[in-house]
Amino acid sequence: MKFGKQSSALTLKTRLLGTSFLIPALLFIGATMVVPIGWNAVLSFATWNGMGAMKAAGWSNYTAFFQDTVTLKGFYYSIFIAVVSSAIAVLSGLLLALLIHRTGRREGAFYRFVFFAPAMMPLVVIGLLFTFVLSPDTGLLNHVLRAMGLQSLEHAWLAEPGIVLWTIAVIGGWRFSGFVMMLAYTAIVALPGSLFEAAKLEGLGYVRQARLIILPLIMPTIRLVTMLMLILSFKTYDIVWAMTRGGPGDFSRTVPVRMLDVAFRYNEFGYSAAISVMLTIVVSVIIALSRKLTKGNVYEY
Amino acid sequence: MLKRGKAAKLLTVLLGTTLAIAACGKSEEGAYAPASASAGASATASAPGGKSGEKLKLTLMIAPVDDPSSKIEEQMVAEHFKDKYDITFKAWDSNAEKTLKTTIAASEPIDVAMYWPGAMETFVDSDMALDLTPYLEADDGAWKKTFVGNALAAGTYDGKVYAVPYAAVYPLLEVNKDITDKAGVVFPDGPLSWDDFMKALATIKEKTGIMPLGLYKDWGAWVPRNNLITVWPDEQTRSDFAAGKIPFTDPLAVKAFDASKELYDKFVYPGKGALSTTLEQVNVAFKAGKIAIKADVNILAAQSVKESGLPNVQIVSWPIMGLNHVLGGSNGYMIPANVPHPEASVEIIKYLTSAEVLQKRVDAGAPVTVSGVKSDDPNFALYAKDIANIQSEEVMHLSTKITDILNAKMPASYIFNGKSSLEELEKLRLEAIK
Repeated sequence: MKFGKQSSALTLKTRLLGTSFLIPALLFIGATMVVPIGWNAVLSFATWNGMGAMKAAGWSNYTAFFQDTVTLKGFYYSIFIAVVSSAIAVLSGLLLALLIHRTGRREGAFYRFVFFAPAMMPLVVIGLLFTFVLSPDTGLLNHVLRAMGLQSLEHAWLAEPGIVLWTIAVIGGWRFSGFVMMLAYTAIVALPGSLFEAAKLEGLGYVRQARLIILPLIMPTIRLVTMLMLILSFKTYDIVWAMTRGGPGDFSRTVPVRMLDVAFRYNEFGYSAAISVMLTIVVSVIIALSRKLTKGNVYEY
Repeated sequence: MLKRGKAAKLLTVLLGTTLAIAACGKSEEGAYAPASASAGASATASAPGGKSGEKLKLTLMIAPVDDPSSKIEEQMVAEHFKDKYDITFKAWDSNAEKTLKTTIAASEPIDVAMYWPGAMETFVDSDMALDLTPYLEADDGAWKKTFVGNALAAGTYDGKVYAVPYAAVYPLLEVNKDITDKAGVVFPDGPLSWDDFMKALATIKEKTGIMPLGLYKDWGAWVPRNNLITVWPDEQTRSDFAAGKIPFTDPLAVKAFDASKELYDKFVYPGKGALSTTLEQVNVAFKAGKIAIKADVNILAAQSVKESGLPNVQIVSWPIMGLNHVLGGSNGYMIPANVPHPEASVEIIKYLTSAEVLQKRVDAGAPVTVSGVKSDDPNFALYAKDIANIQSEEVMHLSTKITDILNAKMPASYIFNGKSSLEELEKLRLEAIK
């Protein structure tokens, strides 16, 4: 009995000690994440110009949101860019990982470095780089198309309403493909070699090995990177700003760009906060949906 | 063992404490008191908590990245105040407004910033700008008297000056005469009518096969803005439109937008994609003879002509649809309302707007707004020839949102959406004049 009490006291003491060790991290996360998110939610029910006193606004910011066509279109642009660039990043990243897995150790290291390089570059630099590449008259892309006799495919890549979203999405996807490749490659090399040896003995080619063995076994990694890509792509601000500043007109004014305009150009911080709350809800719904769609068996090996 | 309920209570207390700490911090930081306007006070004495003799730390954002003269000014300021202030310079770029407002809201304002006196509503409406009137009026208006004509008018709101100008700015055209001569086109030295301008562009395009006009994407809005100033039959109607008394759907306003669209559709380099052309691309095209005309700002024109290396460049006025005006105003300096050392900030601006500093701009061929400067450049007058025609009264000043649409989204919105793009403007006009 005595022993039992002592054990319980020790457990409590140990747990309190453990909890106290967590306090600095908790305070840090609270101050940098929980407080701003809570503050943002509070602000979305107020009007504030950034300097004077805040005034309660009830649901008016949310009512304004549903009447604001520029912001609503911004949601469409953000969703389009997020979905297309995530799909490009995941598909091309997986393909690269599967191809690199077939190469030798030295060439593999070289290719991994080359394809991962864009992920190390700041988005603003990528944005500026592509501004030159995509220039209608002097840009590399149109020059190449012209040299190949494909003048009909030449475009003003950043100035045509039907094209600009695709351009941004493709560049965003290309930028993250190296990141996906690295994670997928790490998952592939962790698979037991005996599986591939057995498959070879059964006469399976690499394409069938990829389809029947690799992809099902690395599905948890694929799900993870898909979530990551969606979250990162939704937040994209810098690449859009560096390449188009939301233009031409409003044709690439994604939600982050719009939020900053509303807050820092119009001084409507409360309304901007309401937009960010709506963005959080939409992103959460899309992530939940994509989790459900990619849900499948997890194999043990 | 720590039970779930206790753990939850502990976490709640911790979260509450965190919130309270954050809130306390915010209320202290956010305690904003308008800066004192006691002109002439010593700057070195006002360092709160600073050690005696320690230099004040100031942050200035006065150098736009595309303005070579402002870099020289940074060096002059650093040298002039080296014994008095510890100055950090921050680059002025397209995010300047956001930077200024973020730092103001965080109570860590930039001490002096370059901004356009004619576009200060966004700061004035939110009490974010310091009233400079007492400093200008001090010592029997000594500082005020250094500005020429009514240069201070652009930065004056409800009788108070919130930004002082250093340069009168307006757009003009630099014409490569070798190309226009080849096309048999002659531009006048005086006002250029819109119809003559379009005819000249058509002739250049037809005779030389090049896209005649180079227009940097960020300056594309000048076309509809200037048309909206000059399209009216008389001064009264122009003024009424600027005051929001005439709708954006008025036939003359629509004509101004249609003319802008036609220009972009037919004559702006490189054709498709003209809305995304960078200044660098326009400069390269002008130098290489791929365009005949470059749209530019008067204060950058001398440098531009020099760098183009072209031997025969004519300076031509911006085309007008009727009234002889040109859009424009001035570049200037402002001080955020919550700067900790307003006297030091004012002292810096006084130096920046002195003849000593602005003479360097004049030497580079840029007209300025203060007296006491001289130029030996025989072409200097060309870059200032339309100053008297500057019309800073524009409809976009009705509200920040209208400014944003007319200055950042036009003419693209009209080109792609047509007259439906005017509906949003019309809604904002009605809101603004309520």
